[in-house]
Order: sequence, then C-alpha cells, then structure tokens
Amino acid sequence: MFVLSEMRDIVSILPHQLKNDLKSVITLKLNKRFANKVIIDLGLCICLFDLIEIGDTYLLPGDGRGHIKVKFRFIVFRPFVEEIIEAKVIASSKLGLTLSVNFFEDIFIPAHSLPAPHVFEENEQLWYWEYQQEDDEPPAKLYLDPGKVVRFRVVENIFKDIKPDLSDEEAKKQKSFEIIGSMSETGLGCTSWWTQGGEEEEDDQMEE
Amino acid sequence: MEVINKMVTILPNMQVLKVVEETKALRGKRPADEESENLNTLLHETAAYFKDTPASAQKDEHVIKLNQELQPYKLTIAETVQILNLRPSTAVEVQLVVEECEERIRTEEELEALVKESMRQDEAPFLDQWFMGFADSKVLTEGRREELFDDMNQNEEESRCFGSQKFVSTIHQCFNASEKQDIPEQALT
Repeated sequence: MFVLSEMRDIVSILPHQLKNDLKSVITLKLNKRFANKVIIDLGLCICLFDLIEIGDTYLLPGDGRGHIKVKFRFIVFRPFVEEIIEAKVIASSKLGLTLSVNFFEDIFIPAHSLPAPHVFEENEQLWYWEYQQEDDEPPAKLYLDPGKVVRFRVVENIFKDIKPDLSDEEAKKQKSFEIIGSMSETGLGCTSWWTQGGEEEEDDQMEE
Repeated sequence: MEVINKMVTILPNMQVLKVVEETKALRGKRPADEESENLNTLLHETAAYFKDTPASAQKDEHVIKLNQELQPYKLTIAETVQILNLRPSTAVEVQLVVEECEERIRTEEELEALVKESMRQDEAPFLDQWFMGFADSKVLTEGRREELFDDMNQNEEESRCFGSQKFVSTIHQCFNASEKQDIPEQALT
C-alpha cells in the first residue's frame, strides 16, 4: 500500500529557530508541509521516512529566514494496480460502494465490479451478493453493510488536478486522488465470507 | 518541490507503522497548533488503521524469518509484501495474491504449505527481496539488487533514520546469508 518516494524541496526556517537542532526543525517542517496532502501522480503523503541530504543555509537580502535545499524520502500511500487491500465499507449507493482505510476515504467500487450476481435493495440502500447454495435452499443474501471489513483488488488510481479556489461544495465533490477497485473475484468481498469455516462450501460453488 | 524518484521501494505496513509511531512520539513534546492539525490527524488515523491488521504484531525478526521461509516459492516483492500485510490463512486468499498461481504453484500440497508458512505467527515477508524491489517488475537482476543495496547503505550513514539503519543492515545480512537457517517447527495455534 505504501511506497517510499525520494523528493527534493527548499525548507524555510524562521530566524528564531535557526539556533535549534537543524534536523528536527527540518523534519517537522516537512511533515507539516506534506502530511495528509495528495501529490498528483504520486499519492497521499504520510510522513517523513528520513533525510538524505541537507544543503547549505542561504540568507536572502531583506529576508531573515534561512532557506535550505533538502533531499529526503517520504512515505506515500499509493497502492499498486492489482494489489489486494482490506478496507471498511462506509457508504453504499446505486452506483456502487465507498470504502475507507481510515486515513483515506475515496475508494470506490463501481456496481458492476461487485461479486456477481449482485442485487441492490432500494429501501435499505444496501447491496447484497446472491449466493447460490447447494441443495434446494434459496440463495443466501450476503449483505455488504457499512461497517463491514472487505477485501478488494485495486483496478486504477485516478489523479485529478483540482483548482485551489473552490467553494466548499465543489471541493467535496472533486477528489484529487481516487482509487477504483473491484470485488468480482473469488476471495474478495467481506472477509467473513471466506474464513476457514465456510471456505469449503464457497470454494465448491465458485468454480470458474 | 521536485520528485526525484517516485518509487524507491515498497514498504510493508509494519515498517510504516513503526515510522508513524516514532513520529508520534517525537510530536508528543510539542504543543499543537493550526499547521500540525493535518499531521496529527493523519498519524492518528493511520495508527488506528494498523491496529486491526497483522502489522501491529510484526517485528523485524519476523520479517527476516518469513523471508527465508518463502524463498523456495520465488514470489515477487509485491506478492511478499501483500502476504506480510494480509497474512492469508486460506488457499483462496493466497491465490488472490500470487499471480498465475496455478502455473507457479502446481500442486495442492505446495499451495497448502505456502498458506501454512504465511500463517505462522513469527513470520514476516521477505525482507531483502521486497525492500529492494519495484511493484511492477517481476525480475530484479542480482547485479541491480547489489547496486541498490550499496546505495541504500551509503545513504543510511548520512541520514537520520527512524530505526531504519538497523532495518537495512538486517536486510543486508539476510541478503548475504548463504545458508538457510534451520527454523524449528512451531506449533500452530
């Protein structure tokens, strides 16, 4: 889920902090600057891994701050395509499911990628998987309720460059980083469906 | 701000958890202010996510051990990291993670053995292979791996590491270990 990225940036330090331990000041500045921010085509920055190189401190005329060129490595959240991830369902609609991994909530599973055959129940606004059982029993309704832990496969990472000056409403609708996933394979969907107990039964039915 | 290398390596969840906890510990001494809201939120939420995953109980030693155990299966770095993160307990889950499973793990017994390996509590995914690998490449030549290792070790000396120094040196040991150590059979819970 996470990768290490190497980056270079200029950190500006206020005069009163120049006497402190440089490394810790720079670490804090970088963490504050990048944490929880999405860099287009890179991912969601988590926190600093380490500093590789700290350049000289430059002082510009008329400016008391020290400017330092820093090379560092940052932990970035960017799942690779085809990766299997466990997440929680937070919302469901006719279009599909929205999942979250706590620190990131823009994971979307479109309706057609849900385990087939899938049915949407209008009054509850819930999706369920109609699972054909053996014998003459009616098909089981395996619900995908909000709060359940599910496993999905990453299909695509979508990065969108969003304008900084948007109204609140527009900002909510537009996502700079969205993950599209799929649950249409054996073993995906609610983790509880595939645990040791019920495994043999599911396996027989899911012959592809 | 410039991105020099988009992906140096993939990190398993346990390593990220380690760094997040260390960053949190350092932050503890400072007063909260507006700017650090993002950082604090992120650290808390990430730690909360990991609490319910296998990553919370894993240590470096486990990683190295599992690495050695999974050697004969010739898995890619991405697959090993996933096994570490997810700790599959059924054959179905392993088939999801390992690409072209039927061709690479031909017999049922092999598959079951792989499942057992990944389930063992004191296991961790391959350390050297994945640490130096790239998500999309399935082939990382020996030469390139050595190169990356040396580069990584050199950087470690100059940089401040969050315990990553020990991490990298253990990887190095692992990588250079020519003999497979005898891991005593552990009772499965």
